[in-house]
Amino acid sequence: MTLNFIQADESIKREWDEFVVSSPHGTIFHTWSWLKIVEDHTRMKYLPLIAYRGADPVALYPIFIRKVAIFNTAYSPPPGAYLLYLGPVIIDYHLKKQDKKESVFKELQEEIDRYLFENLRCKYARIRLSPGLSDSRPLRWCGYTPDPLYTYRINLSSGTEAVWQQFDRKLRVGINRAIKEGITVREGSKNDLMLIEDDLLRRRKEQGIKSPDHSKYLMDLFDKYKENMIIFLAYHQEKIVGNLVALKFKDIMYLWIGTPKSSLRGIYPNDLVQWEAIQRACRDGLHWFENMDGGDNPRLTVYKSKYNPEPVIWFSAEKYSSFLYKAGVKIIRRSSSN
Amino acid sequence: MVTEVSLAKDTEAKLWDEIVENSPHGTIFHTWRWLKITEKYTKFQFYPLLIRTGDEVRGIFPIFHRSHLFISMIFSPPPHAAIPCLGPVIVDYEKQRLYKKELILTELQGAIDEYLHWQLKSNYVSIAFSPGLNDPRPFGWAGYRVSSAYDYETDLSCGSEIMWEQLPKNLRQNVNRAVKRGLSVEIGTERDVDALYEIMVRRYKEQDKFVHVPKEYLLDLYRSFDGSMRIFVAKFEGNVISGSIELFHKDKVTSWIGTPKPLINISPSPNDLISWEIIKYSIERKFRSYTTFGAAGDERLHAYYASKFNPELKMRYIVKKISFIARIAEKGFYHILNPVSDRIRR
Repeated sequence: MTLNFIQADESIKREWDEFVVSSPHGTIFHTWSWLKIVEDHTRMKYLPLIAYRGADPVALYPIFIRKVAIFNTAYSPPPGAYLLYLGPVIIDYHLKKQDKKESVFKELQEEIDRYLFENLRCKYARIRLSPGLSDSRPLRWCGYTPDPLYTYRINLSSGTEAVWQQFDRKLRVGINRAIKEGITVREGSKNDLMLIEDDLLRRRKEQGIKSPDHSKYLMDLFDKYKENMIIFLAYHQEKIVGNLVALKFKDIMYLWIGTPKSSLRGIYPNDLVQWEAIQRACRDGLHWFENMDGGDNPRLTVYKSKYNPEPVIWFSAEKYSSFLYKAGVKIIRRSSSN
Repeated sequence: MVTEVSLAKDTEAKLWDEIVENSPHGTIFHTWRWLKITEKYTKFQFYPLLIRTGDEVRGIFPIFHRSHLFISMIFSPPPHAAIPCLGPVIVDYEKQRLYKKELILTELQGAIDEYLHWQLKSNYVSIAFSPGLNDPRPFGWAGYRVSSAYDYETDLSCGSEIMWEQLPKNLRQNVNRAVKRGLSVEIGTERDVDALYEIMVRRYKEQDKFVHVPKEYLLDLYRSFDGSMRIFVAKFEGNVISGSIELFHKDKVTSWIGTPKPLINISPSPNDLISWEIIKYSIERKFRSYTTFGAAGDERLHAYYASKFNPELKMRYIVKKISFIARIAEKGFYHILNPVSDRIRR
């Protein structure tokens, strides 16, 4: 029996989220409300697709369609939404034997490609698989070029003290110094998200990256995900000098956005902020703390690896409908980056 | 202290093999003897690189070099040598924290790149890491293109009885029917390596393909690795109809070469029986895992191998750095020269 795609609506929201929660590679970013807010924010056409075999749901595949001139392009996740990875959630994938894992994922990818490139006439697709779905072959066999990327997870299962001892010595010294210098960390409120977004905007501007203001997006997410979102702020002499926004979901705390470069000399408030977030994750009984990343920037990696995390692979894969379109996109990208 | 690369001398073969033996990502393909034999049968020059910081040996890196026209090629492993993976072996890598691992790999990569660039003027570098060396990021940061490769690994720790019960029904039926049909599997000899090779040549020819690995190379390895290499052959009415050469190294078994479709029409295929007998043999001798290289990455074959012994999917990495000119030459080789020369040879 072949797979059929049905576009999910609000009536199926509860089941959608249940599948996300029950799958090890289902993330908070896959949840129904999160993606609906992303849709509002990005103004891209959102397709919450569910693949069925007969009456049985097989996978969720959230796709965002963007029209570029007269062409359709497909994304999972969409750009410009502070989302690193998304991709499909294959139901009970972790419970299947290897051959079933492969046949389901391969068939799913073939069918979604048919849907995107034949039905919707997309010229380009970018799929970024969430950690845990680490088999890139179905994408490669469908004509994608998958690139391995790495996020960083700290295993919290042996407790706060063991995690602390695993840190690089210089990092521990830096955290202790920040405490000695009077840096304190407090939880922030919804309004502090504006400050964090200002920081992020400023940083992107400094790097020459054009970017829209995400304030409303962050506010909407906060309203919907109050229970999951924790804002950590570092203060020095009553001035905010560091921040991060963490997301709690299932057994993971994600370091999602924040940790701007500090202007204090010789003190690293973000190290302390991150350590406070890790302690909080331990207290809340979570198993992992993820410093979300692609692992493609060595400068950032040197900093992140001081926490002695495990690099966890995820894949970003691109596919073009034709060589001509690919060449055209590359020329446009190159000329706009110059 | 500066990390430096030098050529290992024959007198350092023992040190080389100790590093391979003590590292979880050191494979039989990394051993000195194997690499020296490989050099003999490929058109590449073997560079056994030793990486040192001061007096401390940090790792080894076997590379194979060949210059052709304006292309200076570096391979680890070389093509057509039936070696799925090679790359560096780093001393005590697994014992380090991530921060240290990155530092070591970055230093090593830098030192190697410098050697390849200045000493060998390389403009084509292809490295396939062995399983376990699972962090290609420092190579990615240095401009290498990183891709993933997949293999199947079956855990043998459950014992043969449980494994037999967990096999797919059709596989168990194939094994039982093969035995009833009068097929038998036994450990073969050097003569059987020859026989298996001939079956493979003819089978490849039927598919318009060509066996690139020289027979003498296999025989030389077989003679040199007596004890670590075994050939299992399936016989029907006294004749060898299929077989498989297996490698036994440390606590791992690697399915290396073989299991071609028999030239005679026989049902069921003897290959399921061969694989099952190898697994039983390996379990009896307390080997921990059984690996099939390559099949997982083959779109046509993967489903068959994935369904056989409920393996786990394992990932390893291939990194390449190729100059523009070398890339054009590579495309010409794979799309024009290679198919043409295969056709002429046929």
